[in-house]
Amino acid sequence: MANLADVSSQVSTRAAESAPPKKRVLSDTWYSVLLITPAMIFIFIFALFPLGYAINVSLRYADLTSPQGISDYVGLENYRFALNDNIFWASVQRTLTFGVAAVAIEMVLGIAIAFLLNEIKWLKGLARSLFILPLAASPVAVGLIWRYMYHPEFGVYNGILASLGLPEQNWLGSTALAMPSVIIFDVWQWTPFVALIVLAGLQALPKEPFEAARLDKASTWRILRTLTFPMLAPVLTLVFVLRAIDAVRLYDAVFSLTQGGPGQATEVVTYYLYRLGLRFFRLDQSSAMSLLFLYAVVVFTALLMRRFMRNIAERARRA
Amino acid sequence: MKTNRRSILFLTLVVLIVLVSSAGVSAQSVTINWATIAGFYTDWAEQVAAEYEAATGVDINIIGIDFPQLYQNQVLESVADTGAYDILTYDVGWKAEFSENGYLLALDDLVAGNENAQAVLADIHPALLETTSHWRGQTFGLPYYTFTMGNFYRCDLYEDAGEQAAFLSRYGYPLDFPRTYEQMADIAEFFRRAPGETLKGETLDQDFYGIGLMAGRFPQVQDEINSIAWSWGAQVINDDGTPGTLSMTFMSAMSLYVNDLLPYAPPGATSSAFDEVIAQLRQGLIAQTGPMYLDQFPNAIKTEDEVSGARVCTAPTPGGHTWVGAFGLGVSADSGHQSEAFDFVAWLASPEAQRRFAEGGGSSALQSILSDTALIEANPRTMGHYPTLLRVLDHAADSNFYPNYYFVPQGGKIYDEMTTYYSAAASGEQSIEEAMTNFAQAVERICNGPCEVANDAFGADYTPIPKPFPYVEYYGR
Amino acid sequence: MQSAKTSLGDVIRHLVMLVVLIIFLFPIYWMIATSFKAAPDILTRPPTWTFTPTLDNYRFAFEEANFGLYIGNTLLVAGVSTILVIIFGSLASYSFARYNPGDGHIMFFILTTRMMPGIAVIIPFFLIFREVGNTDIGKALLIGLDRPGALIIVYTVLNLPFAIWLMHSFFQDIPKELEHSARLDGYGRIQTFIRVVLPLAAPGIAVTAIFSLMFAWNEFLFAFILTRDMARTITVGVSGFISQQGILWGPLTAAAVVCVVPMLLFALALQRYMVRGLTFGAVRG
Repeated sequence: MANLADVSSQVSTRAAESAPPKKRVLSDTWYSVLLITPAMIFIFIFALFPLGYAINVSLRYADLTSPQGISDYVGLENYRFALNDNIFWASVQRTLTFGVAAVAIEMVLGIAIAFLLNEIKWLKGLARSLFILPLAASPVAVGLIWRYMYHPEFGVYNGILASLGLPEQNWLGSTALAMPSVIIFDVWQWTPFVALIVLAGLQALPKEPFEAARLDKASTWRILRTLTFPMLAPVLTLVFVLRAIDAVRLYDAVFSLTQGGPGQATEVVTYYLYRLGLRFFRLDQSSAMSLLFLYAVVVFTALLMRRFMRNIAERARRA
Repeated sequence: MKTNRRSILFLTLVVLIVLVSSAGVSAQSVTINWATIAGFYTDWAEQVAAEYEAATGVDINIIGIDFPQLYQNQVLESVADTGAYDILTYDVGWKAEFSENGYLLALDDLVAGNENAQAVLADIHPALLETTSHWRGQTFGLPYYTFTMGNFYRCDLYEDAGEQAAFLSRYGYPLDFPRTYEQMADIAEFFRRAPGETLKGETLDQDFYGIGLMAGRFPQVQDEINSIAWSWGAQVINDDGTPGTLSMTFMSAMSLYVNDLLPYAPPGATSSAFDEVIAQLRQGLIAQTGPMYLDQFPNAIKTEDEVSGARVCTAPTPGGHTWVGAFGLGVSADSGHQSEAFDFVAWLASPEAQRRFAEGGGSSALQSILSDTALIEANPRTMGHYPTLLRVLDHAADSNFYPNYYFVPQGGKIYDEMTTYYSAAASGEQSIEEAMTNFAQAVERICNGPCEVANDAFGADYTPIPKPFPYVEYYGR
Repeated sequence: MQSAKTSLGDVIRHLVMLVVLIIFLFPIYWMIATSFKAAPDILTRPPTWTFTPTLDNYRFAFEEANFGLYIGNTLLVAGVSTILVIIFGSLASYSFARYNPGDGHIMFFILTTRMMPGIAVIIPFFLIFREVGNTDIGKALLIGLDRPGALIIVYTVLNLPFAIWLMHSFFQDIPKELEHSARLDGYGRIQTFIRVVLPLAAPGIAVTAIFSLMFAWNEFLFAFILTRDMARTITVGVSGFISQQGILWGPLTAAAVVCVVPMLLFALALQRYMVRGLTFGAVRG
């Protein structure tokens, strides 16, 4: 483990033997551009091409299974279709329900678990590693296993309920319970993600302000409110945004748990897009809807992160 | 230390890259890539393929794909002309789509030059030939595995004297496998027992259900419901290509399923697929299945080992008209080795390979195997359902009954929408009328108006009309 | 003051932690237990808690499916893409944290590339790799359909935005003073970055590497569409047990266990880097 003492001793020993500071070859600006170049090349080639392709296709008639394949430009017809498609809007609503519920529960639980993990003394490392397990399991495989665990007749959850004398539930088969069951699964898989990143943030906090506050006999609540949460804010915002983006892109869990069923009770946007694009091969309509979806998420994130971005810029300038 | 670790990592990567790339460099001989269903009699396929390789020198590469993804994967590779697969595996509902869009090669020229294939075609059951091989007068593939439906029931319960007497006094006719769907509903109601009630004179300590249904959003709910509708003369797609699900008959078929069968099924039915129904049978939880794939017999028969005193029998579905189909093998139009690929397909469908398939638990598409009494008697646990299967197939062929849905070029997509809306009605998410209206709209959207029904091979004014099943001649098991 | 209350509070905290862990680990336990069950013990009512363990499912999984090859492919794809993500991502992230090129706009743009639904870009990717696979470069670098290079590129692109953003705050937390003193001591820019900045950002890099690797390891949709046979990865192999004969729960859970174990070992190995062993207070103060 590198620590400050090591680093500074390295620095000073090196200083003793090495030559005087080298001349600047590059300005800061050029250096910063050079550093981001490899990543940007990758992103430009492999993220922008598919995007351009999608935009192009969304303006044409494109049924891959028809003899014409990708054919004539039809203007905004596909967007008009998307805006009038009730199934699309119903699926958007389901995605929002899912996203709000899942992310809210994950944030609250995750933060609580992070604090707990930060405070415990024994077997801290082991507990932290074990928490990675739900994340480490492939969503498709573990989704199937949850489908098995949720099964009304053979599933272990109903087995446990029955042995406690509680009524058994039709977890994935009832219209009312299916969505909550998918949310529970997502909470199980992604709460550890929130917890681990928040924990990393907690451990990165400087100790002095907290010691000072404790000397001042500040209450725990006050310390949390005035020190911990404000200092954690960037990490919390980041985790929230990453989770929100992933939650609205939910696909694997629905695919392996319910296939969108029963009926359309868990058919979220991405699952509908999957059916439209990869089962009906209506690339035109699915691209138009994907782009509307992308636009909505980008605007939402931009609004959410305005302050966060300003802070980042400020801190970079200060540094 | 650190350098060491880094170089080990690097070496591992190099070794892996070499391994992976060397796997790609294949021998000089012809390799046939066969896309098929993962875990689907893989043992049999590998064994027959190995023998074929030894005999011909042609390499067979089996690419197993999980069934839910098989359709889109093959379509995508075909649309993009990658030539990745030489042999495609298709479900009966995809046949029209794959043939019409040119993914499958018309085989007539290849058949003309292959005596083995001609013999196989003459042996394939005529009902399966119509549903899985023929399209617009040409041959596009050979069926090798049929999943035609029937009814599984616990004959030990049906033959119990006490149960028989109780059933007769309650319903006024003797208890036997159902001849009509109304009878199926009666039986389902009759055998629904709560804990504390008796079954075969023994007190139950858990719920017992009258029927097992696969009503989840999996591509099976429509096979059950369509069986009822078709037997009653309703159509998914009318003769003029419009959706038929809004007809009174179709909606009453749906209503029987939702209101008279489903209440007597385990609560998990609305999230079940076929394997869960078989598991319910094997756990001794249900008295019968709805329309169920007869090829599940080798699994269903295990009930007899797992539930003491249980016996499992098969019967045709009420009315006998049901989902008649098979998985077919065709040659990809992009294949670079079409004639070699076809030779292998003809070999897989030949009596020699099919006989071994049957012995291993597969349901053959060949009449010579389906009617081989000696073979069936020698293999009662893998082929015990063959007599019933043959009767169901014969009935379809005798009645010349092939629902319009089989001849719609967008069959695969419509199949997907059936799953969605039939499941919506079954789970109560939408009312029957609502779900069927939405389904009709979805069909019109897929076909861009009325669908084309390309059943001209039967004559211009062909209409599939169900005929009564000849129960008098049928003995069942 | 703190220590007087320690014992009771600690006991309660540990108990709560234990309960939370049990709840979160139970599905994993159930998966592992199922993988050792014989077929008749899997679909039972009520569920079977005690059983005679068997290795049949593992044997079946390895014999029926080419799991050795799948694991090799997955290691290659996930490993190389994670290395690329960490190299490119840490350079870019550091640049954004220190110099903020593009004044936040480029960084936000990078994040937006993660927002596109995978479904929408999968067919374009399929077509790109079909073309690239037919070129000499594609053949030499193993980039193409059913080639590992394609998945390496896709996972690198999909993970980069996440990695850049996640590492950003860690780089920002490193006091500028440390870098200044390193520069004064005669370090070049690159040397400062490698010798001073990177070690200090180790927790962030470790967390990012873990998540990137896990994502690549577990990704299903792209792996399924872009590979067929040779370059198939382990998750696609696991889904192969959803067969027309029903879901083969035993072999499926065995394969899923095989799929999860390397991730657990990796997480355990990196976990010590995740602890930030120093505070910056002294420097900042």
